Amino acid sequence: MSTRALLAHFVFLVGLLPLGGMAYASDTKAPVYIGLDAEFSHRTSTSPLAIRTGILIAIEEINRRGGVLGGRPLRLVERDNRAVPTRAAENLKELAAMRDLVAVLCGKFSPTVFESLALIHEHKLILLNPWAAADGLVDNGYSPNYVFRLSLRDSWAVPVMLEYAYRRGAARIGVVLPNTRWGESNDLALDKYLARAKQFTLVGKRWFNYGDKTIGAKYRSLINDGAEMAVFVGNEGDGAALVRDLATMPKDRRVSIISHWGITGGNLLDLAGGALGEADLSVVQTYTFLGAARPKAKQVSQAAQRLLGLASAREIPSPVGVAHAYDLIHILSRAIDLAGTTDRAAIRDALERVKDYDGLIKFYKQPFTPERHEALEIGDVFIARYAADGALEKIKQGSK
Amino acid sequence: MSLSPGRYAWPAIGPVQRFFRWLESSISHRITAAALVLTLAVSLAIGSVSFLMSRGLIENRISQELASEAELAGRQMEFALNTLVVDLSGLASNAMLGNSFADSLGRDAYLAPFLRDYSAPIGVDTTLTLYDFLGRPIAGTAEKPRSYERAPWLAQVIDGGRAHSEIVRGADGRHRLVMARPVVYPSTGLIEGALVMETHLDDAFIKATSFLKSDLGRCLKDERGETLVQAGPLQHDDLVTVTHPIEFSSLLLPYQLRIEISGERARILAPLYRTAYAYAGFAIFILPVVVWSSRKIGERLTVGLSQLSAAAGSVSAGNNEDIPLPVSGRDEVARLTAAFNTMIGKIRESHRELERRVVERTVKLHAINSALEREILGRRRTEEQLRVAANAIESAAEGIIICDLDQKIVSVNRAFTAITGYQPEDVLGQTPEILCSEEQTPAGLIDTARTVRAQGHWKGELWSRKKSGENYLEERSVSSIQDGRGTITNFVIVFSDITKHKKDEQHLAFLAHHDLLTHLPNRTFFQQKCEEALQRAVRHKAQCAVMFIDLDHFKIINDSLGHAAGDELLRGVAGRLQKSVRKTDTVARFGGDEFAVLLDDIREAEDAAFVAGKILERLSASFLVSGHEIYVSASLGISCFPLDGQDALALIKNSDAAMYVAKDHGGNNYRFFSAEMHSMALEALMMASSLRLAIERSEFFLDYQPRFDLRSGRTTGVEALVRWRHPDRGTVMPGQFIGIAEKTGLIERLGEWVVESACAQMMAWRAAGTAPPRMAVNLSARQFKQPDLIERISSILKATGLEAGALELELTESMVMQDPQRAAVTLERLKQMGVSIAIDDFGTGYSSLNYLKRFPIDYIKIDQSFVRGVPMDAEDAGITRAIIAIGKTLGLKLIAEGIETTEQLKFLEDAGCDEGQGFLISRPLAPEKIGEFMQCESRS
Repeated sequence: MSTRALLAHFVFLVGLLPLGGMAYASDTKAPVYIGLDAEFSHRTSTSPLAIRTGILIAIEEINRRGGVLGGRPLRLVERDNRAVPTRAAENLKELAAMRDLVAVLCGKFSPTVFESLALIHEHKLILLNPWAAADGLVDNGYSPNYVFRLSLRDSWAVPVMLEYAYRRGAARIGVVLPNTRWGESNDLALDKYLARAKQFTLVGKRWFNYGDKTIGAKYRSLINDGAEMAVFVGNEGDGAALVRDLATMPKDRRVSIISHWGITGGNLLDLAGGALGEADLSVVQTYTFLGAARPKAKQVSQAAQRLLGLASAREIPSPVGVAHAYDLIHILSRAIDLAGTTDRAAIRDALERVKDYDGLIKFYKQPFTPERHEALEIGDVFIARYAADGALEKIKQGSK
Repeated sequence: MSLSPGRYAWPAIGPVQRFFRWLESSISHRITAAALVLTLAVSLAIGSVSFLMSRGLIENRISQELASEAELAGRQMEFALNTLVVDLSGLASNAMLGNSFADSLGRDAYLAPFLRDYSAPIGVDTTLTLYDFLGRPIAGTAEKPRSYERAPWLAQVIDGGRAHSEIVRGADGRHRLVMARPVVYPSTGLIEGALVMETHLDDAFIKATSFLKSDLGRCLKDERGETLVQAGPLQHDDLVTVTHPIEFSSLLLPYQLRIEISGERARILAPLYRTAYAYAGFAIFILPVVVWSSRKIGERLTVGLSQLSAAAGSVSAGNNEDIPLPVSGRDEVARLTAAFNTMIGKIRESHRELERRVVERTVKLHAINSALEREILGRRRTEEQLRVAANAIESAAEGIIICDLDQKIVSVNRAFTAITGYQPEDVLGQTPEILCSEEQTPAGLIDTARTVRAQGHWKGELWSRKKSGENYLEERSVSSIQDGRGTITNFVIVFSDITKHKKDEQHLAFLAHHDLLTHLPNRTFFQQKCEEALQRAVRHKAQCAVMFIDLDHFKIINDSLGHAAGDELLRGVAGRLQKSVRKTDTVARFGGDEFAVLLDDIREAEDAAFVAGKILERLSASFLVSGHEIYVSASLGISCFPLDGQDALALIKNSDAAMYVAKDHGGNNYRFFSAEMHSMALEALMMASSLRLAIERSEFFLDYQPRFDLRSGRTTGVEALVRWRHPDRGTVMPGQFIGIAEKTGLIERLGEWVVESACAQMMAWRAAGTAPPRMAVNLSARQFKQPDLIERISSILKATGLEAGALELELTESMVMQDPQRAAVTLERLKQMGVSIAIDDFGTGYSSLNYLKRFPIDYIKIDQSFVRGVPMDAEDAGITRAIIAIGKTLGLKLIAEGIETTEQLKFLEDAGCDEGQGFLISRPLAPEKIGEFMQCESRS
């Protein structure tokens, strides 16, 4: 087992470790646990780090105010699923068996959650989803539904990406999708949207497998088929391969890429290097610390910089992960207090009743209801672009 | 004997007696019988001889045929299984498998068809199954894949990253070959599962032997002789069986299997038996004919005689009325009849008298005669015996001592004197103890004497002493001599000097087990000692280690200073190795510059590391060899028991592999064997096979690095550099495959392709008007040794239309120095063609300047290892200046490689270097870029 994986199995004692070892009165009472099962040993994914950061900042704030249930501290328990669904299932089983564990957050890989949906409901395990975007994770058919998402979903990402393309003058669209449940989810969303939006012509869909060497060729074949813009659904590794391949093409043969946000779950600049500057690449996002005006933005941004040892908010990796996790933990802590117990079924019900949370991303009137387990909405989604330093900047409305 | 029934019941006469009577009764019968017997004997003899010979021939022939069939089947089997292993490794390392852990949807969509598409060699049925990290099947070709959840071997594959193969007997009694390879998940670089290939050995075996005739039995056995697969008719007891071993590369499959092919002897010999029956039938048919015809002939011959005999019969019965017999004709029978008549008369008269006298005299004569004869014979025999015995004793090669009852010597022979140096008079009357050496104990002698008295004989080896005082090893036998009544009268000692014989024997044994040059144990003996040490280690739960030692660059020393010096150096190395280890350890030489050390009974692997360090240190001191001071270093590989191998062979093999890794890391160090080396070896194997394919699929391409005149800055030429566009790994640099290509011989085809493509590229540039002046191509060592190199180069030039003057061939120093005479001839011929020659990485080898002077070289390339250090490193700067000076003196042009900084460029220019190449000026470029490049230059 690698050192990284060992570390990931470590239980972080949240109140003590990251934020200067301040001790709180609530430390003496039995802690309430929150799990995080994510791809810690993945070589390029930064989303576990971002999610952990968001969780830790929120937990620290909550514990400072006296914890939950009248003084019990929150603590984070981490598990490494290595982005492998079968490992995720084993981890979730283990976490579900933990006393006083109220909920588990997942990482960015939709497949790792998909294959555990049955298990999650069997063990009445609350799954808080700060990232994974496949629609089917929340629209899972279970009742009561134990999955809550504060994140993007594919059926919002698709229209936002395509409408942006249209604004840029591209009506002939080519799509590159991964051969996974996440790809399938986007494929469905795409077909559904295109059935309505008749202004678009789909020139083709190209499926790839993770690590596919021919991803560049797929992009080029879409161009050959007349695509004016390419929609890319994938993660940072395959995204970087695509960008590097694009950089070798003559400039007049390239078309712009609008990408789903999987590529922002890793450091694309590190992976693609100078080629990133060559690509006309835009990406879907839900949050950025840059230019954020809400009162909590500065406070969380500074805490994140301190926690990660960064010099500027521009360096915060995968900001959406930090923001989503942060808001989810605050919503959860309210639900715990509402339920008045660590019983997960009760907390699940309470999550649907939390009201008026003034969060980092926005003011949530009622984040979750029995009918709706999505805390964000399509209006929260925007387009961002990579700056030269690798930071993601929101594009101005109406700009190209 | 009466045939009439009487008071006693006479036994009826038997058929045999009746037959003899019948035989006696007539010559004609005897002729008939003789003819019959003769015919029978002859036909039986001819029949059985030819039957036996044919049977021998047929059996011999059949077993030869079976042997070659078994070998062929063995090859098929080897091919099939080895291919399976290599295929499995290839499949397991395919990124698609690793990625499939990410998601079950994708997995079902692309992985299942991918695995189903795999077709095994010779149509063997295989199942491929991908297991997750808990040993649960998640994809594969089997309808109901086995679950290996909690199977320790699979856990070892997944947690330990080790390959696994085993033969398993299923519940149905069928044996499966189960092989597993770890599968790495590319996103994390961690092993997330394993690919398992299973194949029924019976299926593979039956397919591998399908070419055999159906009436042949076939059988696959493991090394313990247990039957794994059996097919074909094998019920019969009487079989002709041949066996052929199948040996797999132990890297692939740790098995030794055997193939047995058998044919039913009766079936094989059936045609022969058919012939034999036909022959016998013919013989039976012919016999009555023989009997009938011989009977007829006999009767005709003996008509007269029958009459005579009837008469004679009646005479003897006292019946004379038929005599005289009628005489008719004049033949022998007629004359006989007349004489018979006369004779009968006379006989009757003299019969009684004669008989009496004869009897009397005969008796007397016999008595006298036999007495006389006995006397003469007896004397002769005794004399002869005595003479022979004395002669034998005297001329025997063995020393002989005869003693009386008191053990006093009464007689010795010549050999005694020759061996011991004692004259007879020295020893007569003494006891044999006079020969005793101090190594003999009196007790031993008494035992000897006791044995002789009790058993009459003693035999053994003992050390004795000559008159000169010299000890010698004696083979001695002592016997007692008894008289007719069984009383012991004498003792006789027979002995020979076996000192030399013994020494020869010991020397022979030494030769068989040692290396003649260094007198160290050889490989066989080392292996034997290893096995013994392993057995001890198992008993005492101890560890031991095997080190494989190979001198670095020994060949260069051998080539430059000669074999005698090389041998002297090897002896020196052997001495230092022995001094570096304990007395109980074993140092061996495997041949060449390969040595091995067995460290018996060590506590931990660290001990081996300590000894390895000590060896490297001892070897680092200089050796004085034929007046030269020589420095050598070595590369060491270490494998430990029981961790790295279960038997001597595996340990040696693995330490060898570790040694190669040490060597690859620059030599003069040691490495422990690790499981990755195993996979590295596998990797090399796969690299070799994909390299072979790469040539067929034209996956190679050339980049060209421009070369400049340092003063004018003009491009003087380009160097062609080969790259491999690997389907999975992307672009592979030559450093990663040239070594393997060289080893496998693929370099010849690849090298030729490079020369051809480079020349063709030159012509293409020329057509576009963008050609650089010169094209430099690297030749490999193997290419340079090709006897028809000149013809090949000139035919490429002819085919492409490039003139020889535009081609430059780059050779390394060591290629030329391997066989300088031959190299000189080859270079001279290239020169005559007009091709220019450059010596690559000059200064890194051991070239003799003297040779260099004689070679028709145009350019010397200064190796980038020197260029890298200039101008800051004083040593590199010095060497670089010296190389330039040497080059100038020899009238050669100099090209510096690997120029990366302007400081280096300036230094080289100042030092007088002519041309250069390196990243500072331009990295290697694709052909079209060179075109652009040249265009820019011509415009500027």
